[in-house]
Amino acid sequence: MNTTTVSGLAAPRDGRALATGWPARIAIAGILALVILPLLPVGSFVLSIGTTAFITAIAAASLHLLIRTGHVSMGHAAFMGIGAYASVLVTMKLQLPFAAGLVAAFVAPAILALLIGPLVLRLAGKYFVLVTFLFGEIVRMVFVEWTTLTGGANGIPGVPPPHPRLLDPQAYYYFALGFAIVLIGFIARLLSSEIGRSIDAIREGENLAECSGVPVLRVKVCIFALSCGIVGIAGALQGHFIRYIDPTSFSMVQSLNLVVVNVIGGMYALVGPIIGTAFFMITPELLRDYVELQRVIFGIIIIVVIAFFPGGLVEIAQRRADALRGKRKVGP
Amino acid sequence: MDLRFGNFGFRAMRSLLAVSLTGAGLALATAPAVAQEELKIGAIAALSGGGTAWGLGLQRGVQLALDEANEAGGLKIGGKTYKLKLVVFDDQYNAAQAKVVADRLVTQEKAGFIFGPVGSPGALGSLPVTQPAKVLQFVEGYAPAILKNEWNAAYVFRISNSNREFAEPIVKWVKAKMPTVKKIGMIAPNDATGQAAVPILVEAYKKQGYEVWVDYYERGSKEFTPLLVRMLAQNVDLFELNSNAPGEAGLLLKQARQVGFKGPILQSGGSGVDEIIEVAGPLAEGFLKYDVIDNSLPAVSTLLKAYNKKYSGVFNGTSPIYYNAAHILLEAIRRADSLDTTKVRDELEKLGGYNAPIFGRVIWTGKQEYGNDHQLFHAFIIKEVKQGKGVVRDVVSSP
Repeated sequence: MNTTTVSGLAAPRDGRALATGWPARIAIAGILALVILPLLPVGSFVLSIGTTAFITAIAAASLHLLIRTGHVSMGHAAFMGIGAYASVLVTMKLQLPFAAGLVAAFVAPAILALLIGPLVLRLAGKYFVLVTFLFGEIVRMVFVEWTTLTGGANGIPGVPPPHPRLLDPQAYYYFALGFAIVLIGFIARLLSSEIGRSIDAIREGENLAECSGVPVLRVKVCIFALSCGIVGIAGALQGHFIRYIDPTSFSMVQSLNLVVVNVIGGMYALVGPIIGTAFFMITPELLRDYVELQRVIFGIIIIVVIAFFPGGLVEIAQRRADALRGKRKVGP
Repeated sequence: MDLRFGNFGFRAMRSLLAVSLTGAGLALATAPAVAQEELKIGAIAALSGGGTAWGLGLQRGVQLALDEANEAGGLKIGGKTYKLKLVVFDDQYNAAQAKVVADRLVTQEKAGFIFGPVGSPGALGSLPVTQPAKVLQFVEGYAPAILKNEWNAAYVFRISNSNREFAEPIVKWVKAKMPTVKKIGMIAPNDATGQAAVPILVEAYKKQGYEVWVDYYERGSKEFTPLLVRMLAQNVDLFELNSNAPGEAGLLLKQARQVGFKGPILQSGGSGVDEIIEVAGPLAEGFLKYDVIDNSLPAVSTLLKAYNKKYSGVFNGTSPIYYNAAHILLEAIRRADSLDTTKVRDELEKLGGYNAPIFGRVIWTGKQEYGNDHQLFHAFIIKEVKQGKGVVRDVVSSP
C-alpha cells in the first residue's frame, strides 16, 4: 500500500518537522480558531456540534492509529462502548469521581484489547475485518443482555457530567477540545517517533519489518491496546456529555462511521480523520433542512468524494501542493 | 484549469447574487401589508433507519393538526395571530443524534414545543437538552425514565398509553374471554422496546395465574421458524406478539400459522394492524390486536381522509397519536394565551376534560408510578381480523 505523501502532513518522519513545519502552524491556527469560536455569538447548538466533533475526532484518530498498522477494525465502537459503560458505572454505581471513571474508560478496553489482540492481530485483511465485526456484535449483545449491569437495551439514563460546571455547553466544549488536543497530539507524536516508523514499516511489509528486527506482533498488540484505550476515553466523554448511554450508540453503524471518517479524510495521514470528522459532522447539518432526503444526499456526496478522491479529502491538499511545486519549477 | 473553474465560480456567484437580490426585491414588493407571525413547532422523528415508519407517522400526524389550525386562520395568542410551521429533523432513532437535533431545535430554531422522538433512546437522549431549557416535549417510548427522572419530567408528557397502562386490563380481558387459556408464549425483539415491554406483560400475566414462556430474537430477523417450533414444543395456548414492530409481528403471525399453531394469537401493544394484515395475508384471519384508534369513528375517518389526500402509503398508528397530542398542545396554548412554556405546561396539566379529537377526554395519570401526572391515559380497543380487515371486537378499558 502506498503512503499518502502530502508534504508535512503524512507521517512526518521527524518530530522536529512536526513541531516547526507548516502543518504545525496550520494546526496552531486551527486550535486558536476553535478556542475563539465559543466567544463569538454562535449559540449552544454550534458548541454541541463542536463537542461531538472533538469526541468523534478522538475516536477516529484512535482508529487511524490502528489503520496505520494495516488493520481496519469494524468493531472499534464496541471498545468505545466499553469505555463509556466503564466510566458511567464507576461514577454512578461506585460513586467515584470522573477521573477514576476516565482511568477505567482507558484501562477496561485496553486490557480487553491486550487479551484478544495476540489472537486477532494474526489475521489480516478481510479476516480481521470480519472478526472485529463479530467481536463488536458480541460486545453489543453483552450490553443488551446484561441488564442488571448495563440497563440492557434501555441503557443508563441520568449520567452525571464530569463536574457540575460542565453542564454548561461552553465549558464542555473546552473540556472536550482539551482532550482532543492532548490525545491527537499524543498520537501525532507517536506516529512521528521511532515507533511510528515501525508501525509504517509493518504496514508496508510485515515480513521485511520482522527481518529488520521489528517485534511485529508486540508492536501491533500494543498499538491495538492503545488505540482501544483512547477510543474508550472518547466513549466516556460521549456518555457524560449526552448524559445517557445505550447499546445503539456503540453499534456496528458507529464502527462503520469511524471507518468512513478515515476513508473520507484520508487513511494514511493523521490529518485525514480530522478532516474526515469535520466533513462528517458539518455536511449532514448543512443538509438537515432536506429532512427525508438528508441521508440520501449525504450518501451521494460520500460516493462522489470517494470516487474523485480515492486517497481521501487530504488528496486535495496534495494536488494543490503538487501544482504549486510544478509552478515553482517552471517559473522564472 | 483551476483558474477557469475559479472564473466560472465567480460568474456563478455573481449570477446567483443577482437572482437572489431580484427575488428578494420581488418578495418585498409583493409582501402583504399585515403578515402573520410564524410560530415554529419542532419535531424529532426517525426519518431514516429502522424507525422510519414511526417517524413519518409522527411528522404527518403533527403536520395535519397544524394544517387544520392554519386553515382556520392561525393560532391567536395575546392579540397576535401565528401561522404554525413544523420544523422536523431526523434523529436516525439514535440518542446522540436526538441530542444534536434537540439542541438545534431549541437554540437555532427557538422552538418552545417539540414533538417526538418516538422511541426511548431518542427521548432519553434529548431530555437533557429540553428539560433544563424548559421546552415542552411530547414523546412516546416505554422507558420509565422518560417520566421518572432528575427533572421530575417537568416539561415532558407521554402522549399514549405505555404498557404499564394497558398490560393489566388486556390480561384481564384474556382471562374473561378465553377461560381455557393457561399458558402464554411470547417471542420478542431483544432491544429497548422488547426489554421494556415484556417484563411488564409477563408480570401482568403471572399476576392472573398464567404460565409464561418467553424467547427473544435480534431486531431485523425474518426467519422465525426455529423459535416458533420451540414455542410449539412448550404447548402454549395463546401466542402473544407483545410489542413487535408491524413487519416482524406480521411475519411471526404468518409463520406461526404455517408451522401449525392453532391457538389464538394476540398482540398486546404495537401499532398498525393494516401493516400486519398486509404481511400475513389470509393467515391473519382471527388475529387479535391492541389498537388505539377505531377507524370507523367520525373523527378518525375525517383524519384518514385528510391523510390520504395529502400523503400516500399506509396510515401509520403513530399519526393519530401525534395528531391528538398536537390538538392538546394547541388547546393548552390557547387557554394560556401565551407562548410561555411554563404557563402552557400549567394549562396542559389542568386540561382534564378537554375533548381531544382522537382519544376523547384528556386524562393525565402516572403520579403513583412516576411521581407526576404527565402520562396520557386513553381508551383502547381490541381489534379482530375478519375477512382481511381489522374490526373492533371490544373496548377493553375506557376513561
